Amino acid sequence: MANKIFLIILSLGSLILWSFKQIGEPTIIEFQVPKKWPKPHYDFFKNPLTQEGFELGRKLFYDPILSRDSTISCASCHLQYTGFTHVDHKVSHGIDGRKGTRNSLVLINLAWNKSFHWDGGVNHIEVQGLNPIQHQVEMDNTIEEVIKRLQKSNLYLELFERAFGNKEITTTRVMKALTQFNLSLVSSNSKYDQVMRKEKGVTFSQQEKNGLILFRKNCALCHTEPLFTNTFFASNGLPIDTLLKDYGRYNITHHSKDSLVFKIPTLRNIEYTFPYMHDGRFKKLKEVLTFYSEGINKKAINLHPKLQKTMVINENQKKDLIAFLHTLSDKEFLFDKRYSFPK
Amino acid sequence: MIPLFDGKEMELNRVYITGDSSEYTISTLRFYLSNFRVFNSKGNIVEMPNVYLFDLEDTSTFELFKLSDEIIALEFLLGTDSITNVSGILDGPLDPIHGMYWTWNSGYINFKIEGQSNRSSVQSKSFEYHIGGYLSPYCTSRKIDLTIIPSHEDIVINLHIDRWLKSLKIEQSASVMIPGKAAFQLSDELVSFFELGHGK
Repeated sequence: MANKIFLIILSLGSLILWSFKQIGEPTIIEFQVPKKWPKPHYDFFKNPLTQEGFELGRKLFYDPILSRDSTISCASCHLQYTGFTHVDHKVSHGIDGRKGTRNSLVLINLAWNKSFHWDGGVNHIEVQGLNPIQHQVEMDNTIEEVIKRLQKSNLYLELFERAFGNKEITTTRVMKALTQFNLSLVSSNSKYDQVMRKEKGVTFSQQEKNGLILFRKNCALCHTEPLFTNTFFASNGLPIDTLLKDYGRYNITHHSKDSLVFKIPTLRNIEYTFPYMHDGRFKKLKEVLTFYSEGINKKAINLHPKLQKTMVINENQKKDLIAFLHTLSDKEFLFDKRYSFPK
Repeated sequence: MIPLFDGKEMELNRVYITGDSSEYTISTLRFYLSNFRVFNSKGNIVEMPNVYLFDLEDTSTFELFKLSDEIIALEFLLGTDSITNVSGILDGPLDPIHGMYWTWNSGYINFKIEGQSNRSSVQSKSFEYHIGGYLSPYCTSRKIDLTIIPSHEDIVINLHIDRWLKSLKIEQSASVMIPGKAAFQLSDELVSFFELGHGK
């Protein structure tokens, strides 16, 4: 009998402890800005990073519940081990095998991004996720339906309570949690970073050094260190795909100066993010370099001034540049378990 | 806030026939009103921080706010201001769930009207105007000023839908769904059909 009472008290005790844990404040995570990097563009004040918010965001990111027929998750087109993009797909496949018109972008260092999508049409990371959820060829769902489904799940009710203090599930909370996960995807531990930080025992090979010099001379104006993008837009002179007829940023602004102008993407983890360009037309980095050195029509509309002058690089220099670009691969990021499918 | 058709409170999905044999049926009418500044007879200005989403389908959205002051003038924005449009995800009336948000070209649809008219040249006789865009030079929010003669009656703002529709070139363009010049012009015309009404 005494034992039983003891057991009951014990279980009551754990219930009380458990409920304390339930209503506990979320654990704040301080967003780490890598040394000497610029200040992030995102204002964390309105959406402080928390462990629970991040975990909820990750769960949503990997959950096909977001799509109409529960087949497509964010990770379908943004796979971690390829820098959170859809490797080997020119354009991505969404629901019912429908195809998009653009190559899926990487999700790397988004806290520094000012706008989203190849055309910069999305002005804030918190509203980005509404696009794939509602786009006909991606998830073809509605935010109402997503919220309805999440409200039916005890697991999600608990995860929202942990992250936000109560079981209310709203558009704002879904988007803020997804944002927290996306903001956390920071890649800053490539060989390039280690060399720049002068870490012991890490040095560039002669070929990589040559590549860095060529890179700084020819590419860094747009693909600016340390983010390897200046976060602006440019036309690199790619001729228009006559089937896709994609005028890029013009579709958003309707300014003729934005015709065929696209986002300048980061080159971090570029070794793994093929195929390249907004429509994925180049499979290999060498093809990209050959395009920049030999393929640009100088009369191309809105061509970036830097590209008006021919980039003179020989075959060996292309190899040097590629060797340097490979130093931007960050295996720790690509295989970091915190970013992986939650088991 | 009460939209009128031919001087009477407008009803959703009712077929209206006007003097010139035009037919109109409105299936959706939703718009934002924000940045209210209320001038009272003591010379003070009360600023209302709320954004109001008027929805003809939901009579609870007709009443905007209550103030005990004697009001002599009103100033407000038809639509949302640019800061609202760049502030990320927002809730309440600004929750994208209300179908008043463009995801692919971030920003609020300030004014949405959908319906049918025999003046439309599309097969289904439908027309739809989604007026939005916060960027220069095609910003679509518009400031409205109303001077008020103080009385004990409620202040009513009317939107004369019939007059506005009549002024539109529905035959030529039955659909505007993106920010730009057309949306800009539509909102320019639209503001003049907001008027002070009579109290109920």
